[in-house]
Amino acid sequence: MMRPVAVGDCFGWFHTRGEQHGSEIAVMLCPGLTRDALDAHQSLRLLGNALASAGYPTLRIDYPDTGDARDCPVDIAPPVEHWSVWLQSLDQALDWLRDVAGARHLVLCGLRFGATLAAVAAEQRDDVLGLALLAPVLRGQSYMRQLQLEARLQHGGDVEGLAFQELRFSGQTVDVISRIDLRDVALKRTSHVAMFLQNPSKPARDCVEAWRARGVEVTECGFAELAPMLRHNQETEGAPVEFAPLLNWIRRTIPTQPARVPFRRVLPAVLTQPGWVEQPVRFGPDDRLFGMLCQPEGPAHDIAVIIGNTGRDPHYGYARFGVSFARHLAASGIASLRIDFSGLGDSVGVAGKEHVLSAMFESDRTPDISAAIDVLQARGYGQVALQGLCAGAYHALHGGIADPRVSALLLVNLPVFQWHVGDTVDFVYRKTMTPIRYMSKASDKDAWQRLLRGELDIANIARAQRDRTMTRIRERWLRLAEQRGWAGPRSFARQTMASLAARGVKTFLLFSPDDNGLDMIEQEFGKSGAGIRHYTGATLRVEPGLDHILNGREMRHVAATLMTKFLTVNLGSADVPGDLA
Amino acid sequence: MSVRAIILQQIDIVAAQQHKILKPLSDDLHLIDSGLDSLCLAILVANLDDELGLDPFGTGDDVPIPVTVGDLITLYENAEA
Repeated sequence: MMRPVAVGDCFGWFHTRGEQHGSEIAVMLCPGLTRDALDAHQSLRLLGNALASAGYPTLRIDYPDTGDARDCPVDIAPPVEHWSVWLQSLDQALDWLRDVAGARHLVLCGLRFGATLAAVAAEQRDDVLGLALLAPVLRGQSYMRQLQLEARLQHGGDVEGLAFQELRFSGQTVDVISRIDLRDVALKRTSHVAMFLQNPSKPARDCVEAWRARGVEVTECGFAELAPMLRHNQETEGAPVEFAPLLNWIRRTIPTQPARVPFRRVLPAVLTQPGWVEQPVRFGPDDRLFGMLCQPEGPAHDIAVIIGNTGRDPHYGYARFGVSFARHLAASGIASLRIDFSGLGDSVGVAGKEHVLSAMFESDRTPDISAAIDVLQARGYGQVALQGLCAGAYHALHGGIADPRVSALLLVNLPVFQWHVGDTVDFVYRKTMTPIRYMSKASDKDAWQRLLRGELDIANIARAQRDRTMTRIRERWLRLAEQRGWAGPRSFARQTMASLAARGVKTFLLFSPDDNGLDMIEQEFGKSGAGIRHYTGATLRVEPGLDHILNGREMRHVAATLMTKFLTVNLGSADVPGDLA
Repeated sequence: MSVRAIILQQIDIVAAQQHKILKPLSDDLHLIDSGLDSLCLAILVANLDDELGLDPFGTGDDVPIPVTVGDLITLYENAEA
């Protein structure tokens, strides 16, 4: 059983097995940052459930400025120093956990940077008996260098501090984190530590030695069983994580028993900040699906947007775009429900696959979308839009096709109109890519040399390009026939656009200039996608400065602004019809 | 172990963790052709900071991103000198 909670500025989930009484020992799960948090989100949910089943009530949280938590103030002087904010929020959450669970002692379990926070938080408290550190970041300095280098390779980010994905660290934050070194953390002698190490590096060995020298009991464990937590598997169903080594360690080292006091009542989670109010929603069959409803604080339109997962990232999105877009919409008087599709994030998978991360394209998301529309209609929203990025755009499109209640579609970098079982992203892109774009891609990053050295899969490329040429010739003739009225729309893409137009659905296709999906648009709708204009209500826009996944903060702001404007122009009324919240 | 040996060992470790298939490593192999992506390269630099105590990208100069495996090794060997 897991209940959403708000603790200070954090959003979190409280896992229990539904019993009346609390427990002597409770566990706090501390996620990592950016990609580490995205990849491990579902695994940490399952770990929370497993710990709760073993008798350890467990809280997992999003720190301020991450996940679904509140935003830290921006553009203030001095800027927010995230390390201290996070440590303070973790400390507050630990107090909350002890209080609600009736626990006397705590175990902190952290992944990557979350492990670093957990260890430092443990140093400052007297009630922490155990620490489970999963692939911990041992030195802040090398971690900051990693993120700075990733930022530089991604968008040449050369700013003071660090601007990477959702993180915006001041120079002071970078300095403070760079000084953190787990070897210097003075854990209590009574502490029990399990180190699940990916790489037995020199700092890891030093750390184990330093803590043992202080009298701390340190168990060294491998990371192989936990490795799927950090695996960025893009397309197929994910392998479940084996938590037994971690569960065995905690049961053996820090056994628990029921507390004498019952659980304290947990208040429903509601988060607010100027401009928006958010509350978690369970919906769908047996309430297996999860979404975060974000409503304007003031007057609202009767429009609500369903924001689906991008790829297999959880509902808050890569670089937290799901959250920033939802709060941007709310500021314009538009509500949203950012959801996890079945088997992703905080939504339980279909029967028999409850512990499996569902496949990116090959899962049918239309029932989940219809269930989300039910939620919004029950709350009085008359017009529903679906939004998605990349694979999310594909599912939004199909949700719009399947459910006649959809009024608008906001599709960012739609990769394909149709997905066939067995397709791969790579093959689909090669199949739709024009020879000019293919060659221009090939001239990037020395791929020409690879081609000459025979290191590219020529057979696959040739097959895909041959398919593309045949399709292109066929589609050109079909388009001509359709324009002259000799035939109705034949291709799935054009049938779809015609059907959406006939229903009055407003469709916004937003692309980055170099996106592979544009080739598919040209293939279906002619040069520069000019044929899109024949479909009433459809708009194609190629926006300079965007990239496929909206890596930069400015890109995300531009995309959010364009989509909001599209909605208010096409669905909004001039006068906002009062507060629906 | 020499700086070179540690770098080559760490490349193997990072590639294995990230499930990347490495090309046979040689000095003139372009990093972009090695099988490593940008995340791997960033993790590699963090690991080398941990193992060698060297952070050539943190010198404050605008250090160019190394192009080949040989460039990467030279960068660290020079930082050690």
